[in-house]
Amino acid sequence: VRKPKEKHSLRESIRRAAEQWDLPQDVLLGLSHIELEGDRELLIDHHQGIIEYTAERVQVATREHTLRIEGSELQLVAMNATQLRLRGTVSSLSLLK
Amino acid sequence: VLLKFINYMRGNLRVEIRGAAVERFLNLCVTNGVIFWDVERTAPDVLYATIRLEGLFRLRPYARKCMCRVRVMEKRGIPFQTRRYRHRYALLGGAALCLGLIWLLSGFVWTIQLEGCRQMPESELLQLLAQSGLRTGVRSAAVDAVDIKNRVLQQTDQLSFLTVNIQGSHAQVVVRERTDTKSGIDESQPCDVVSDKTGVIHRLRVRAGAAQVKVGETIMAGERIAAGTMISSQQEVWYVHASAEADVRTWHSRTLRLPAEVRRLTPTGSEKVRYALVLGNRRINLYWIESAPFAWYDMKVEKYHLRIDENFRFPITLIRETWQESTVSQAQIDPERARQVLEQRLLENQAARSPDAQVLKRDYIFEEQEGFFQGTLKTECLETTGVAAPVGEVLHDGTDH
Repeated sequence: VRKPKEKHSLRESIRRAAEQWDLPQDVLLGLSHIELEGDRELLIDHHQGIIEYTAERVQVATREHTLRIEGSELQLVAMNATQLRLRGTVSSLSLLK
Repeated sequence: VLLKFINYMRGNLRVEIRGAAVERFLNLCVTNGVIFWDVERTAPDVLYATIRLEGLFRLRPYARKCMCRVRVMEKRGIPFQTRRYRHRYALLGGAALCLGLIWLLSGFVWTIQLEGCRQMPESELLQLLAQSGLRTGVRSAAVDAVDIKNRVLQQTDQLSFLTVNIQGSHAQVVVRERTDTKSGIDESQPCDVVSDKTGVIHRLRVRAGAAQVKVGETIMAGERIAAGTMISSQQEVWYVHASAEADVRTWHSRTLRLPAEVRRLTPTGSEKVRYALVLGNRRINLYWIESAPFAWYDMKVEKYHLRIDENFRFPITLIRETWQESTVSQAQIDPERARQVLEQRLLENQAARSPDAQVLKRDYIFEEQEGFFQGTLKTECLETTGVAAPVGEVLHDGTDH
């Protein structure tokens, strides 16, 4: 008896293929790429906009999550349509579904 | 730093954004290509940010949409600084004229740099170059490097190589002087090989011709190493282009003297500075006094060339002459110092006279005579000799075979 084949969405298939072939998922799927330099600087690639911006808390929308950054003296150093750079003292990062 | 400079050149604005949905306003702006940096939130409804000059006009509709108010707080950059000069026509005209002149003058050769002149006087080469079409003030585009090279090399036999590189208003002329001392006898012509050094033969290499000397024999300058006249056992004579060289041991002795007492100039501290400006070949003295201001002096000349970079030079030179007054006194030379100086000079002299010689033994003798020091350098060297010379002695009349 042939095992019924699992059905995936196209996106999920691409994700699996990317994982298997070790390809960058952020490029293929448009996922956000987050880089944290120590606790001082944060770079977010492929963001979807700012939801909240104060010196203590910044919330940034990404394709699949909302990224919450908490800390002190947070400042938006530069921002364009795809990239966003934050500077300050980061104390926590959390991803909200 | 580069980014800051670019932003400064393009002009940027510090704006205050006031409204209830400033985050939404920022998102709307960035998705439509208006970029922000140095964003600072000072109050829940107030935000300061820096934007490019062209961004200001583009963000107005989004501000209305998000019910935000945008106020320019500060203008920075070149566009704002130059704006205040826009009615100063003379200044703008002067700047345009200056740029035009620089552009015009950069099309001419203003400086000629010679490289490689050792024996040949630079003035002679400059004269030859001028006759061939390369002189100060000539248009760079009119300089034909190949033509100049051919013309100069035709007019002199002192040079073996010449190249002209035009870089902006600067012409670099690189030459190589003819160094071969061969007699220039054509290889098809018969010749002898003679020694131009006196010594004991250490090694002999005869490639063509009949060897006239043996290893261990003494050879005098002018004596034959190999003869181009060959005689067979049947007494037949024929001539060849002899080719040979010999390594000879030579002995040299050179003596130099140095006076024990020299005149020493001691600066008094008093000095005078004069300036002169050289425009092209014309010197303009920026002082009135012509004669030397001190009886005894030391003069330091500093030259400052006006140039933007190595290849963009102007024919303007500022000369600063510093005349330092000195007093004269007699001073005794320290014997140890004299010994070193004489040895150094003798070694330099030796190296200059026989640059290819391999020094086998060196003996330096230093003597203190009355009123002077004397240094003698005796060297034993291994040198290569052998120059082509016309066939000298013909043993028999005969025809070439």
